[in-house]
Amino acid sequence: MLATRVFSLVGKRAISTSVCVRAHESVVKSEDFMLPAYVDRRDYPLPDVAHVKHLSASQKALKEKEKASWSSLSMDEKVELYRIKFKESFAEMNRRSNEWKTVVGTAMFFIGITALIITWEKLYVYGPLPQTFDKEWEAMQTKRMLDMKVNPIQGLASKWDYEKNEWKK
Amino acid sequence: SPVMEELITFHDHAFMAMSLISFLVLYALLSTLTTKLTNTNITDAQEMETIWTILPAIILILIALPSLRILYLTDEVNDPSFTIKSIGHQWYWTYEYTDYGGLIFNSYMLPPLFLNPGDLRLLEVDNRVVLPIEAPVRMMITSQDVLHSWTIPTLGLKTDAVPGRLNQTVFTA
Repeated sequence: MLATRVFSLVGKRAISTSVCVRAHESVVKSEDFMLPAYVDRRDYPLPDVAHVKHLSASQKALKEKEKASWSSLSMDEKVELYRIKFKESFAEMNRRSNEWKTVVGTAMFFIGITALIITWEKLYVYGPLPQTFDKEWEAMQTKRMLDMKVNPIQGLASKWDYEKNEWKK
Repeated sequence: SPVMEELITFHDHAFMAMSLISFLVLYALLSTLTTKLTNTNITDAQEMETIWTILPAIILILIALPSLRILYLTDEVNDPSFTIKSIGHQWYWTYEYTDYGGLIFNSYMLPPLFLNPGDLRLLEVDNRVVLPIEAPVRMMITSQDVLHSWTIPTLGLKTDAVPGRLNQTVFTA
């Protein structure tokens, strides 16, 4: 079973042009060493091979009818011929998806978990803040910095009105 | 100090230039990612290449000229009348005022428990460096063990204390 599969594989790809031989219509030869493949790409409008490689009997009949005048083809037959050649139309291949909602949701979920971890850490792991963060201490510190005229041109002391003894509006 | 004001202004100028460039690049990136155009056959773009070679050169010159000006401003000769030596150790400074008689002392940081109410934590020391006002001071900075750095941000001073090397900075407090 495996041997037959291997042999058929080898047989099909024995000669480089076998893809062209087996195809029901023209195949574009790629310049790099790739086998011709079908791609749905906006910047490669006409792929190397057709989408449907092995035609059924009715599709073969349709292909024969295509060789005659195209005005005799009905709308359904034209769509059928299109679907033999192409997998997705441009509108289908360019359609939007809802993937972004999943991505954003997952990212926010993990940010939330991180927030929970940090909250637990603050409650159970970290010690108390040093006393220099108390409101009274900070007030004394600020008063001392204003007395020293720290950064008088653009910084802290420039925001204090020394005449009125209050912060500048 | 005036030099520090110049440095702040230059920083604002360079930051604005940098922000503009970053915004432009971000815009170019976004428009490349969201464009509907699919031409893969573009080979020649001489005019655009000229522009994006000349324009960055101009921007760089506009940033470099103030920068060089400030660089030379900081090296002005002002004939210091006083010399202080500052030696870095792990983890304290030793200051030597040896011009008119010897004064040498160590300056340790006050641990938080020793702070008087209203002191700045991590900044207060037991013995402070006293500088004369409006007199040019020469500061010789070195280190005993590892690399340190002696900084007064509001005066625009930062000099590295390198062991085995004597660095000098001159300023007017």
